[in-house]
Amino acid sequence: MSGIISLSGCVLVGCGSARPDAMMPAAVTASHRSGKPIQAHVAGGAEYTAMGGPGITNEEFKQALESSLVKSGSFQSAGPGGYQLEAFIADIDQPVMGFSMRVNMDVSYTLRRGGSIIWRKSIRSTYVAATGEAFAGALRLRKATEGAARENIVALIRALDGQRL
Amino acid sequence: MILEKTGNPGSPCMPFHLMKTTSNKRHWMSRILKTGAVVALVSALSSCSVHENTRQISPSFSETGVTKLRSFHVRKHADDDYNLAEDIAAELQRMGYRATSGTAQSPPGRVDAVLSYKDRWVWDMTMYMISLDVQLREPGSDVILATAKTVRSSLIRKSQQEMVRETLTKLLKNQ
Repeated sequence: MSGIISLSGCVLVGCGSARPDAMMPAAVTASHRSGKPIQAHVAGGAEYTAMGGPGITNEEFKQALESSLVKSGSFQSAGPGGYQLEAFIADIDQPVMGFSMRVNMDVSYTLRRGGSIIWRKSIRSTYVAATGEAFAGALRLRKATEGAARENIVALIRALDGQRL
Repeated sequence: MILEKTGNPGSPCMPFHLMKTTSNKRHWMSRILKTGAVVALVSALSSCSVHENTRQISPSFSETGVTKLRSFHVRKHADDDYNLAEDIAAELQRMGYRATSGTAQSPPGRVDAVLSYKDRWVWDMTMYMISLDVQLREPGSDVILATAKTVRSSLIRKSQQEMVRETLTKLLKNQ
């Protein structure tokens, strides 16, 4: 009976926010390396979206961003003394229900160095989680949200690579 | 046979195989009823009225920056069946701003900011707007500077115009 209660609660209110490691792209390599550290500052995140779906907290997205950017080779390490990246999670658009769940995510990025803005861009990403990825709807929605965040970071790495920092 | 079907399962006149089947049916009925009761309880507890009216400002922008904006272009999206873009522009004008609306990606003239929006509608006796999300964008770069969102569930639903007013007030007025 307790299993049914927790499952019902999970389906109705979601199963927690996205995990940083699931938001990191598996293999994206930057062709240009800045050789400097990167420090991310994230705003607009929350554990749950306004509609009650799984959200992305500022701290989780910061971790995923910094780790992914360093792993890609774009930046040397995570920390102060180099570039500052401001990420504003403007929207996470989730379905209320469905078999294949499509999540859209809008993030505005501002890259600074020494206080001056050197690059700005809003990136919209999409990810569709099919039923094969997870049977439970709440889990599938979280996977779709993590996928949208992952795609957003991939697009960011590619866009920054084009800037040849 | 009729006596067996309507008889008391526990009575000694009922054959053993029928007693077992009836017992299984009772067991499953009981489980289904219990599960239904739990789901109904959780649903009842979770379906309370939801009202959210929030604003988020990008770290690269500021509240002062928002209050300095005087002119807007509302970018109408392709699925706007309710003339929401026109209502947003009209409400902005009522609030004392200059505002235009249209489907073009870029504003027709120089404006301080572009507004895009996302509306979500659901059915509960009638169609109603459950959420309105307005995004304030920098003209040219299209970077999102701030967002405001209003969510109202069925019991506390408001008209389209009132949803627009509530969201724009949250977005543009000093908090």
